Amino acid sequence: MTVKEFDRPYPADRSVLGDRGARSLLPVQALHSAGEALFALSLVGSLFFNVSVDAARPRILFYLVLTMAPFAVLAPLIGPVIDRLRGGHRAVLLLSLGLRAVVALLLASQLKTLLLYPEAFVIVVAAKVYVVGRNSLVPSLVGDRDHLVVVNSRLARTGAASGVVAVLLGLAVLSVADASWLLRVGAMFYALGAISALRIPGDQIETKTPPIVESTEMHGPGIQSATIGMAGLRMATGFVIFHVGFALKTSGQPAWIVAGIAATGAVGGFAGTFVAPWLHRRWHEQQVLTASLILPAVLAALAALRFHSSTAIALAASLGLAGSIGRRAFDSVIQTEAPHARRGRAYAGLETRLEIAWVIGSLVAVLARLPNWLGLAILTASLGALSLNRIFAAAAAARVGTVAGATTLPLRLMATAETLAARGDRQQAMLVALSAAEAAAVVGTVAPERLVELQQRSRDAVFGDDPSDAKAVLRLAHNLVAESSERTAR
Amino acid sequence: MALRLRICAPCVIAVFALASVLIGCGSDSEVQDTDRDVAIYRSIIADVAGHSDLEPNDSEDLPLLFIEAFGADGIGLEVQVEVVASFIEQYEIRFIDDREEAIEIDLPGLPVRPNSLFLGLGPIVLDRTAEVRSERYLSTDAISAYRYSLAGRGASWSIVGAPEEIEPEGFVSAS
Repeated sequence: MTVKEFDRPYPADRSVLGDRGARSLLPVQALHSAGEALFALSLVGSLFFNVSVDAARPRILFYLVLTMAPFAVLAPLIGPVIDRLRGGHRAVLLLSLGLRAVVALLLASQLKTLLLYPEAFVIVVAAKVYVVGRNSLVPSLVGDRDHLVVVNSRLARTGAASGVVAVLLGLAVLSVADASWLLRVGAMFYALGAISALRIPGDQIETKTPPIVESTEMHGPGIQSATIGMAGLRMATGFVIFHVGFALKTSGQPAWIVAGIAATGAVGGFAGTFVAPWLHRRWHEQQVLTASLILPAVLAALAALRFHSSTAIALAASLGLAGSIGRRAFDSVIQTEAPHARRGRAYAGLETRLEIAWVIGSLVAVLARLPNWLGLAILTASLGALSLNRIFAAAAAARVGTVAGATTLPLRLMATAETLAARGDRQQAMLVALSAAEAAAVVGTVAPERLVELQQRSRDAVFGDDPSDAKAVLRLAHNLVAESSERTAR
Repeated sequence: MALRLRICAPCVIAVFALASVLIGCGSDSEVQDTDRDVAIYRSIIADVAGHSDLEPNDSEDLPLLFIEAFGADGIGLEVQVEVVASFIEQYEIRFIDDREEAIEIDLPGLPVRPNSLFLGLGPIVLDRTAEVRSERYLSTDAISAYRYSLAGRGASWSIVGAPEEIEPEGFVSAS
């Protein structure tokens, strides 16, 4: 079966807004983002700024830990739901938005009560379920796999633009009414979003790709590296929300500064949707991801040196920008390296890890209760270390190709085979050893009859179960590679 | 995976249920203690604010009332929330963690922020009556301290007599 046969073509039906299936997500995303922006803004008028951070900390910690719990079932649950149920993906988004509409209405009259904490965290968890659900759903709605980045980019831009507009609307509401009205308006957006979610098609693209192919692609080194980078960004975002929020509260900054920070974060995200394509044309995706880690690291360093409302705003804007740019690079890596992954479950695991990273970052900020400068210095060091690690890894990878050269390729492959054999993976070791011998034949000289003998013995040993056969294959390959290298050196 | 789901889902539901119970409920005595503490602190705050030049007004920006809890145990979150709620129409109450929140650190004498009152409240000492240290901060050179005596029971406590003027302690110590 060829790779092409895995995919069933999706009926080509596109508009200026993108794929037909994904297009229906745009209003849902816009209404979700508007609701989220108003929810974030409403917290400015909440109990959070009235009670002492020390007194509230245990409760915040408790609910943050509870936030983790749904994700323990989310990864195994949400993917299969999306994959198996007709319209299951739509139901996840609908339920998330509907639940937030109800809870936002309840919270509107309880912003100054202890119910703030559980209700706010229900909204946070439901929003994260939405994000995981949406990002797991998009690949199954996009007809042309090469169109995934474009669709995700449109969704991001729509969401960011909607968030900015909602913040402006929220500031207007705050000038004539209290924060509870932000939640009432936000609840309306959530409810409209839930209604819009009904328009998402129940059918999705079927795939005949075996799950093992998706799983292997999604666990490739490029995607793993990008996931770690993206998780670093998400962790930084979670950390900054709580660390800077506490810092602003304890330094007596007026509430409008906090509102301003929420607004600049949204503006940064919106700007990122324009900057990302520009960067994408110039740099490799992994380089863009590294750059998106460096930017907030630099701004965090500035804020650590002098914590002020202006540096806090700049840090929030940089995180919004970096998150947007990083997300596009991340999507691009997945599109390139996992071209056959379509099922929701293949994405749910990745998305869940990113959301858990956000929660861990938040937990660290709440638990550690670090002085402003120290927390931001640690954030700088963490993001810096992650960036440096990525830079060194990329440099090392480039060096292997340029410095090591083709003549040592058989020896390096043979070393890899012996490492695999030492780990007990005999089958893979034999195939790599065979590749090493074939590489020796390409770059040096190997007697054709000995190579044929090795191929025959490898075939027998791979399907057999005798460790001594595997050892013999490895020994023969080793001899061929070593002799070829000696001849090449002379 | 089905087995994993069967195990995980009940666990999560159980954690949520337990958490809801733990968070939502307190024992009767704890509730009574909270009501008592709220009533005592509310009486003192109302007295201090009532004798200040800070008057509740009808504008959108309510006067700010910063409160620092003296003593190692501080003031419980439930008490803080009830106190905030009881003055919601008159003052914007803020329990602080750092004095920087309440004072102008860039001005000489470190005065309190404009249109606000900075109050320190000590722990409640219960005997036949309740005694509480209260201090009012205007600037580093203008701190007044009083000991309040209150009588009552349940959620009904009132100040007994005039508060006794004492030496400031809470605001003299470093934050």
